[in-house]
Amino acid sequence: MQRVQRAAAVCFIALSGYVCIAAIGMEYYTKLGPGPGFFPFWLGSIMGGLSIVWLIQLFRQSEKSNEGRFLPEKKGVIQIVLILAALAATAVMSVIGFQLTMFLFMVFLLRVLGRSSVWTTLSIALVCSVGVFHLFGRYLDVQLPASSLSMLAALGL
Amino acid sequence: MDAFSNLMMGFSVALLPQHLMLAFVGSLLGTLIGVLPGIGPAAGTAMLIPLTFSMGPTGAIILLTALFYGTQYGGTITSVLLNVPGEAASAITCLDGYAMAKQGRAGVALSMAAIGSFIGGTFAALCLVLAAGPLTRLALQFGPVEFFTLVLLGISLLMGLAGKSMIKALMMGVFGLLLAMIGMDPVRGLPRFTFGTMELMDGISFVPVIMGLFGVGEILLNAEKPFAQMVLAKMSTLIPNRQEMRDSLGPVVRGSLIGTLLGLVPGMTNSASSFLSYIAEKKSSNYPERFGTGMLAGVVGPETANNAHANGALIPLFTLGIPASPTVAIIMGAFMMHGLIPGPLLFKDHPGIAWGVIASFYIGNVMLVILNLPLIGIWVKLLKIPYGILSAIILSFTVLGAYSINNSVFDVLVMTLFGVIGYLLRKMDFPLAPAVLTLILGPMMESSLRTSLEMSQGSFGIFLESPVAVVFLVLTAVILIAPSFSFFRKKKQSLAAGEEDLL
Amino acid sequence: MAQYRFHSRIVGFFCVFAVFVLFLPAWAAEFPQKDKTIQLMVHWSAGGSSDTGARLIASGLEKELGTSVVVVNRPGAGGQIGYTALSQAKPDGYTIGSTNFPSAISSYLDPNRKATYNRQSFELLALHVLDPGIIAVKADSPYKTLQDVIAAAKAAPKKLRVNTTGIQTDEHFATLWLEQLTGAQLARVHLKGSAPSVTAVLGGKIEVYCGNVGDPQVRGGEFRVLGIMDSERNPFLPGVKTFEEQGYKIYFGSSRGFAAPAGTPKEVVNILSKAIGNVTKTEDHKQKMLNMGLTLRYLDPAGYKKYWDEFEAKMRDLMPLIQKES
Repeated sequence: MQRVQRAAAVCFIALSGYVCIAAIGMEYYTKLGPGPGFFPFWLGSIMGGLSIVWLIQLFRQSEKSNEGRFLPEKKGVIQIVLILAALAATAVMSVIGFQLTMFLFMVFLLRVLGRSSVWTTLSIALVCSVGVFHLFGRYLDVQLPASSLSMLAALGL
Repeated sequence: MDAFSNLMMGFSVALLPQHLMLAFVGSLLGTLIGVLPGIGPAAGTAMLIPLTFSMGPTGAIILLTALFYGTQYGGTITSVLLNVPGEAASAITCLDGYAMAKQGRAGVALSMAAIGSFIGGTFAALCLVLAAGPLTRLALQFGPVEFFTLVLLGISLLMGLAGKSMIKALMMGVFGLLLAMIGMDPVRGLPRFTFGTMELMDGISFVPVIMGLFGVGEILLNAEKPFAQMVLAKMSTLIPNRQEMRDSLGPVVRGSLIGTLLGLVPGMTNSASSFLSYIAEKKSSNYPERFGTGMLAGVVGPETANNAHANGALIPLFTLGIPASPTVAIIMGAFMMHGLIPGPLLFKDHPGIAWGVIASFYIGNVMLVILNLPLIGIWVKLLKIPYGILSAIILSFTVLGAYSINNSVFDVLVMTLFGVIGYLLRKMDFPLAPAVLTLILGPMMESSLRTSLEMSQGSFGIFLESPVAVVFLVLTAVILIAPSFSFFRKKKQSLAAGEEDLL
Repeated sequence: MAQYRFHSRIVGFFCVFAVFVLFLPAWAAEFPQKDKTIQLMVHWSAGGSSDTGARLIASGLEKELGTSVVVVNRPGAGGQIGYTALSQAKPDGYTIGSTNFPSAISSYLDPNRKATYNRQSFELLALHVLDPGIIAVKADSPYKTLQDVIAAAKAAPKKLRVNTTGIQTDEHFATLWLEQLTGAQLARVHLKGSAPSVTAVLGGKIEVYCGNVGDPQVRGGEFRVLGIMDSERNPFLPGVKTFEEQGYKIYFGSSRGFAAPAGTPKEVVNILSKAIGNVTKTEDHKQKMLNMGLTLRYLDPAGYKKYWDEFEAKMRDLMPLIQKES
């Protein structure tokens, strides 16, 4: 836990360093007052200061407060990584269309992670993909993306 | 025209069948979102915005506001029966609510909380009706100068009430402000921190950020362990006895006042209201030591307060166009998507919409009491659905919501990224609310400062010319300096001792 | 038996394929195909007046062309995301988009925005709405005419405050043009949109209002409109003189048109352009635009091109002034 928090503090310090350096390249002050670089510079500096204070606090704390592991069990980590991967993978929506993307996404979550039965999985996945697509398209006037591949588009996906 | 006849006109709009229907749907979905742990009002409202694209503005806003205050009712059910907060503002209710449930008094806790919520919500809505006229007149005097100083006050309050870990709250506040720097700057209109992407030119859109931090982050946290079935406490009779009703009177009155007043201040969240109300109940009780063991006041007070807050937070939005909390900012976004700008002109140019929505608050609150009392069994059943299935459905709706705000896959990726950030920050006990609030207030702060200086051609004296601005500046100074005096420090410790997450 | 079935399947497949090939040229000539959807990209969020106008056109086009036309909102970066997507879309006429002035032009004139398109990336279809710029003051203001305002601005440079609805909006360009033409100097305040601007003027925080004919508030009794930046008077503001009539040759405002990606076949452009023209001529459409307070002004591709080039030339002239402000 302590190690992770220290690492986080270092990340925040790095972030503030980056912001400050980028802000120096911007106009700091104009005729009428603060320029585009004014707030980023000072916010970056404050962030840096706060992070350093936090880091010092972390080092001062006794090792007693080292309450266990930061990361969950291996299984939990895998589960989290898989969910994130699935979320990021929905970016293929613009290529294979909303319906197919959402169907695969739901099947993955329900079947692989939720361990639902085949029928539960299929019925929920269909409602959330094909059902939502048509509901939004017809009644709610929200056009969800169709596939940009003509082969899939021809199938109505 | 006085407030009363305006309100009657509003009722004639709100009572149209389609608007009644939408108020009902909003209340229903709001309760649902409140009941479900892992998805709060902000992420829930954001998810449903695409649903409203095809509706007229009145219907859309009625739906979204009903959903917003509806979540405050639903959250109670989960807190009392599961000892898991359905949403953040009901977290404090767990303490005495679950204790009551274990004693077999869950029904009384829920029914009194629902009645308290109703009174709190309607009280705040009444304040909105009475305040609308005077405040909208005042609003014309409310220019960029006053706006800047008010935002400054809001941000300083956020910092001043940071609670247990001051440093972490401050870091999050600054983190949100840094995120707010992304996009075209208000001074020159040049891209800043956009990393060469067009998508970031308008700034990072906060709907995906909120859904990531709160919705996805929460689900990731729950995904650490295999999804387990949760243990529900038994329900019991809903009808309180005379003593219990008498005990609830004080908490309801105090909760209504606390919630409505805190709702007016930018940067205050519903959680702050329910927390402060809990403290107030504990202080005014004859048996403070019994809190945590099933005191009815510890349930009714906070639940009344967070509902009053939800409706109260809409007062600055409607009258001044200021979003006081993340969810209200999302509702403001919905106004704009429908071509309306909340603020004084709304009452003038679209009285039917403004008063129709306000009237719908009363209707919605009545519907919510009905949904929450006789129909409570349905919500209890809902909690029996395996969390694996629920979280999958919630995730699919966050993807849908993030995508359809701008029809852009980029926003889905932003949401995923902030899901990771939210998960990690939560694990390290960082409060997330300050970051989101400053992300919303940050751009307003910078652009209103710029606009003020454009008006004065560079002279900071303009901030001292307006009496309203001077009042806000003095208050800001007091809040920032006060902690160094011992009297306030002592008070703060007692605040911090109560519960960790004030924000 | 199995062998036979397999063969028949191949033969069948080829037959279908042959039919496709045979009819392909015929399809290309016949625009639009009945079962294909035309996407109309709007580069602003749903609900705004650009979006509402485009949706009116889309529903009219459906009747006119007999195929479905859907509006897809691609907001972001002041329209730049949408313009980029439009310039990169397949030039077959099934993807068209709205083009708004001044954003469509300013986005590629400003080198900081690194736009990947310019006028040549689009095949113009039609101009739909022209919302001329106006200068107004509060009804109880001491300034009665445009001359009063300009004289006051000259007497005390950078004291008289005027709003814009944001950096590089039409109000920003229009007020610069006014300064360039008259030598007056105003204190420009960049607000976000017209509602905060109206509030600021009514609250007395700003003396001069710059906006458009279409802003609903200026037609109430609280404003006195001093001039319209158009070549003709406007039916929404009866009795208000144009800038030209008062001796200032300024013609500016925001406008909304439609364009297809460059390379779209000429016949397709003509079909779409004519269809948009027909929609704008229907009584129903005219009435709806009237209700929204928008000034309908249809221009065919040639007319729109001319208008675009004139507008762009003026903006190129004013752009250095914006850069100089920095």
